[in-house]
Amino acid sequence: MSHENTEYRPYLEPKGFYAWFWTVDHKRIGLMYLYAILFFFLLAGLCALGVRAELFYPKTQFVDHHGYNVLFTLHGTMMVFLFIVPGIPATLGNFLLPLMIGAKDVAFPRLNILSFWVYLLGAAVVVFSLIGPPGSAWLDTGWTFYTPYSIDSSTGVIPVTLGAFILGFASILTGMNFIVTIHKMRAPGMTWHRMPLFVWSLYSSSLIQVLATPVVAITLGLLIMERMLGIGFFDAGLGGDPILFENMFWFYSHPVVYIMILPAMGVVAEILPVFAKKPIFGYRAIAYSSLAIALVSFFVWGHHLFVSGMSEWSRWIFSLLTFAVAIPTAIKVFNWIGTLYKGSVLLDSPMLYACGFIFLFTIAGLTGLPLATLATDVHLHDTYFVVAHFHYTMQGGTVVALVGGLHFWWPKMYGRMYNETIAKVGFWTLFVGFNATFIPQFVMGYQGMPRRYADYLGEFHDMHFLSSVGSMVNGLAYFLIFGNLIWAVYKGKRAAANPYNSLSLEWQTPSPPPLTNFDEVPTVTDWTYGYGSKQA
Amino acid sequence: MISDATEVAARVDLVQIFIFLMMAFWFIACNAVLVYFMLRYRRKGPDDEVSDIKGSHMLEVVWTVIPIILVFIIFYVGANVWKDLRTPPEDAYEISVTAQKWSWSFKYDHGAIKGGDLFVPQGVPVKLNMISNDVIHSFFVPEFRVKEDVVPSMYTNVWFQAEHAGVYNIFCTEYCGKDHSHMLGKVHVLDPDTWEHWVNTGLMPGEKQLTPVEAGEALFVERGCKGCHSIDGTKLVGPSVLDLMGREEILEGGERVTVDDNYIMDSIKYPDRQIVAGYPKGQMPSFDGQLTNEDISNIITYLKTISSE
Repeated sequence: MSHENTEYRPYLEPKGFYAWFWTVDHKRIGLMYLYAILFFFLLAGLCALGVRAELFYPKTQFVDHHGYNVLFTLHGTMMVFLFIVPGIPATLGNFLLPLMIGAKDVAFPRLNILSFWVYLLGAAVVVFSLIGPPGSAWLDTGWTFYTPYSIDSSTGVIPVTLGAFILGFASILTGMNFIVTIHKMRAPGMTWHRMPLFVWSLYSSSLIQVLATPVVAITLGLLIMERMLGIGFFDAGLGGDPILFENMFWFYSHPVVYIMILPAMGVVAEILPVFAKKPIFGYRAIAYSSLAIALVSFFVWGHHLFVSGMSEWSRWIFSLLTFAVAIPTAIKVFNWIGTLYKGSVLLDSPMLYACGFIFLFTIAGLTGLPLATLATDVHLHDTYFVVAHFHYTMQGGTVVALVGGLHFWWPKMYGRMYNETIAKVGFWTLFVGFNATFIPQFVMGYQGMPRRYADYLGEFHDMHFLSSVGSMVNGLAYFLIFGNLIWAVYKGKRAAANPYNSLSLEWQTPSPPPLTNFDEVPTVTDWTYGYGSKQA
Repeated sequence: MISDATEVAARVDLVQIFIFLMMAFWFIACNAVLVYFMLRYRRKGPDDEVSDIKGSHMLEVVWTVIPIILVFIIFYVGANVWKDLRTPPEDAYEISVTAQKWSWSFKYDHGAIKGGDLFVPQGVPVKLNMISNDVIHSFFVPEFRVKEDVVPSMYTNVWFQAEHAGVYNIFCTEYCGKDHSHMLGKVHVLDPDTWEHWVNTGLMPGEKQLTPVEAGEALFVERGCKGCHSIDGTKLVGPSVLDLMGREEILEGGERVTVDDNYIMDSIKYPDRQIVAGYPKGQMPSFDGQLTNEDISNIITYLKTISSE
């Protein structure tokens, strides 16, 4: 029995559709998820550019009001359900989780590929229900599908909820798989408090996935019962209450926000120590704050209903609970920054993304304060201030971390290095374009510009124009960034097994890893972040 | 940056400034330290001395406790001002508001029903009792810092006491379909004399009584009719009103009808009764009770003037 690398075959072999589509290997599934979600990221991103192009000037430029409403509906629905919810866990999470804990694969490899197939099915259902049968108008309800508008205006709300329900199964399969894998598949010596923080963040977000997603199924059931049996749940005409739908929608969709951001925080916590060559600061504080965020995330959905007509007491309580999220979030930010203290900071592209994430995320978090505060939220609710706030968390946070993580682990995934100069240019283009897009939106939101407006008053023109210019730069940046990464897959320089001298397990195997991840089951004797002078 | 439109709005803005200052402090503090560390500890070579610090219990406690105290303070001041923002005085002047795609309708206690713009007296607390005829809308006056959704299942309310005569924007801030962005209006805050004049005559000082055609045209625009019914023959959500009078329409189900005054009145009040074939049902809200008989007759008079000749 030889453990020499003579038998080494990277997981990327063999090629061919059959070998990939029917694979049960977590790394291949991660890559297929990556291609799928990036495809929808492209489509949804183009819709966003369409929205911004229309808003360069007031009145109608190239789409009428209905067309505009369709564009932002497509943008929001595809970005949320098809891109950012599967997002980091299904791509980097699938690829890295077993490698990081020294396992050969996830606990249920077949459920893992089933998750991907179910995702494709759900994505198809969502896309087809957005478009509708030939000749019908495309769905224009916004990604929130609020009743009664969604029920009155089209027949699409039930199929699209069905799509979200199917996608929910993909989420649950991945989430269950991760929870069991983390509990049962850790290599000898990989105790809970030695695990990489990315694993902790996946664990926390998996808990949310498993617990929050069933609410989509309940909502779907109620919608169908209302339609088929005429039982009034949401339709005021039948004695129902449309606000119930808002409650059910956000009971799922608010925790989902943390499914999106927690793994992003985990990515950043992996990049920082490696590029600062220092132990992560406050390991347990960061790990437990992920769990705290996951827990609190279930009790704050009411802040989406601060001006909905919900009872005044509920608003008061939800405001208080919402502030509770600020605490574990702040703890994380302080600890990340503390990690750089007296380190040896290398500002290569993954580190730029990690630091850029911290910068943008402080804006995202702090602009949440006036939205959690009752007196000020009344004014800011449903204005561009909110749009800017959540784009700072979703794009400035999750997408920046995803792209940073892709740069960081690209050599592991494909065994090739991208062009570092272009990667840096890409980062700065994204950074500038992103801020130029959304800072004006904070300003006009505060001035009272409502969201989801196909047309606007002349007084908002300057800010809209700036934002639209910024968005074009923002969009361009992604072509630069992904162009560079794709180029690397084919033409990039061969990468070493561990180009950053990381101590994490995924780097202790060849790049790209063999199908079985490790030749031997690794034994772990120390935590992941033992950098610092003693080890140097 | 402090709105002087209402007294409560000014206090909301003080809370906002307090929060903005706190945001600015933490933003600068965090990122100044971040950038300083990035530059100060920049890698010089592979043999850099690095510290082995793994954390600090003291710091963890400090940066947990301080934010907890701060968010409690923010919550408290916010909730306090919000209580006043949400609690109308007992003696408030009440106006009934009905929202429907894509216009606002205001009913005053002297019997007037007006679409589009809201007229209120200066220096008097005003409470709006709001309900929707179709989907969810939201009533938003940025200068007053008030907003509340208008839903079909129950009454909601906002209140404000405008301090100065003037004109302010009304926006719909809950997405309600195609012309959501045109569901606009103005609040006209009138000084006591003007208010009395307006209540007695329904006119602003210097404003002339409109002819039926002009009044009908104004209603056609401010009630949102134009969003779905073009005047140039273009097919929108509903049939165009060009050459409407005397036109023969085929209804859903094959029945034929010649458009006359009664057909138009019926369509305005009960839009789903006689749907022209090829157009969707359930799109137009009923204006029954939203328009007076005089309003409807003015609209009919106006529609008769829209012809291609």
